[in-house]
Amino acid sequence: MKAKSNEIIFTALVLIFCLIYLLMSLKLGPNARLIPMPLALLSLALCVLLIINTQDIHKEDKEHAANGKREINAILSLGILLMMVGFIGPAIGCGLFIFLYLTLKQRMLVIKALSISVVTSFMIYLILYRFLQLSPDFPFQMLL
Amino acid sequence: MDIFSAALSALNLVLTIEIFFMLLIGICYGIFIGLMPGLGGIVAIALLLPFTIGFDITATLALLLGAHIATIWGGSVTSILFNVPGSAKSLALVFDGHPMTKKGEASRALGASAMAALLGGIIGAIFLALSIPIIRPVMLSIGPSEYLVLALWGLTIIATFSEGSMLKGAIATCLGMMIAFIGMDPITGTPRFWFDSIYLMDGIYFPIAMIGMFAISEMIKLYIKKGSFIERVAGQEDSSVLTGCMDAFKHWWLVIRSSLLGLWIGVLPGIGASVGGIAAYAQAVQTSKDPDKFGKGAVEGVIAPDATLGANEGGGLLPTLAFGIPGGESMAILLVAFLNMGIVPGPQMLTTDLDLVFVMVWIIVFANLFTTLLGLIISPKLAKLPGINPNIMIPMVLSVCIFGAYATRGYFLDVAVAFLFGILGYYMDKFNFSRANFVIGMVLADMIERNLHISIGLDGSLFIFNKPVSIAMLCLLVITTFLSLNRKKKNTP
Repeated sequence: MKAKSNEIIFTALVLIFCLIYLLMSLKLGPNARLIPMPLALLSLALCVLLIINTQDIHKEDKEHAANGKREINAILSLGILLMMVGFIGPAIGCGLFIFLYLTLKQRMLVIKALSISVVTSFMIYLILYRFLQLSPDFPFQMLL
Repeated sequence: MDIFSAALSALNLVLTIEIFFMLLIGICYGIFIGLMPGLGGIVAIALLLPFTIGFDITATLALLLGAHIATIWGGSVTSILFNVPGSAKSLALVFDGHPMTKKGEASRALGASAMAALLGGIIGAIFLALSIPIIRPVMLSIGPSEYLVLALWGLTIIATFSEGSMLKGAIATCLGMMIAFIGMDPITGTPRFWFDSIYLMDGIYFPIAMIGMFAISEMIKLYIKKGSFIERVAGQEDSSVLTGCMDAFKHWWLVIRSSLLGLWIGVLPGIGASVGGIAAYAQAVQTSKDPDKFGKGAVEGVIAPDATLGANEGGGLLPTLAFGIPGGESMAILLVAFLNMGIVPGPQMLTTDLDLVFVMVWIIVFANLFTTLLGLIISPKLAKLPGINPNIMIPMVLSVCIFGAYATRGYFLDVAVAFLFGILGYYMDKFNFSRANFVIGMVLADMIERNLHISIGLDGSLFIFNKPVSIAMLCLLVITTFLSLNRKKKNTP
């Protein structure tokens, strides 16, 4: 039943999003809400219909349900990567993430992992800041 | 000057070592830029522009058009191999190109992609040359109501190739459209759903959503699955680059249809090649005898969008040159380049300056040819990339995604939004909500809203019945939708 309830939770979240969207669109002028409002109404109706009709548990869903812990790990890893990019910029942040991932997860030799991450960092730095000449706008701007 | 002599004199101008050298430089550079997610033809041309000052017009055109055309194939490569659309144009290639990679048919997909783009480019260029005398009345007969019907056709077609539950497909489409409406209303300028955030006022940038929805979500999936990126090792399969090339010839009718569609969409100003790729994919599904195979690695799903993209460039040049109206975003930057070179767009381009138009037509043909040759040479090497250990692949692809998300506009928040879309994409895929429907809804939403407002403003609420072309297109839409739904119903067990 877990797969079914997860799917219902996801649909319910979409439904809440549609509801907020609908309420916000009501505050807009007639031209600005011409499409968004009916679209939100339609989406709400479709979500309700889907929640009522959700019955079958697919085989694939069962496989996915068993991976809940890994899902949390994956999302946490993304969060860590985002924090690193936010703190130290994409060039060094990505390099550091690659280094940590390769040494901790892949158990790669430190020197090999270091070479890969340094080369990646350098490439990103070269393209972003030298070639495209983007100016960094990171929230913390510790580096770069 | 008549068409034939203009074509010959233009060919004479193009067939020089200097031009071919510039073309090759442009192509190598274009493939490199195309392989970077988020960077497309616009960035490629914008970065080249300062270096073209002082060059001869033909050489500059060879450099710019060569780079522009090569970026398209570069974008196709990342879509096929890593599920990372290089730009909005190559979005349609992830639907079947990446499943082919997963099946171990990366070489075949890359071969089919390169050959379809070449054939599309050549067919597009030929028809472009032939259609010059008749294009003006055709362009003028298409207005906002026709664009609206075209976009609605795109939306209804989604129903025919959305896998599984149609209800979930419809929700995904609506969700995509709703996300697209975040930001300024294109007509009134009212900020919508922006939560007082300046970032949201600009709207969600489409390439960012795509990077998250396809690439990041795929990496989450790969991490959770623990398995390899592909089910078989690429290069060891019974398919090859040559098989892919032959596939493009085998589906010659699909190539011709898609090329003509690409040319047509390119000629219509403001539609853009991203819609072209999706429309090509949709017509391939709709006309296929076995539509169920799409989305699972059908080679036709690679051939149709690539042929359309190849032909689209030629089509896009026509309104840009003849009326100064860019056919799409990349044509807008090309227009700036033309003005820099002293080329003044206008109806005289199709009469007195016809040889210059044919110079561009020939450059497009040769650029497609060289891109394909180069593509076919490097494809076997590229096809081995997805076979890399997933534990190395995941951080590398995530880094490329961050790079792509940041490089498009230089905002840190774009990286965060790409990650959010990645998580949303993962759960959508997990619960069988079509990600393809979501992004197609996002692409078409703006076109629908803008043209609906303009049509109502021009012709009132019954605008659709005021023009015979839109009535005819609407009838076609109803018939094709009915037939497609009927077929889907029959095929559903």
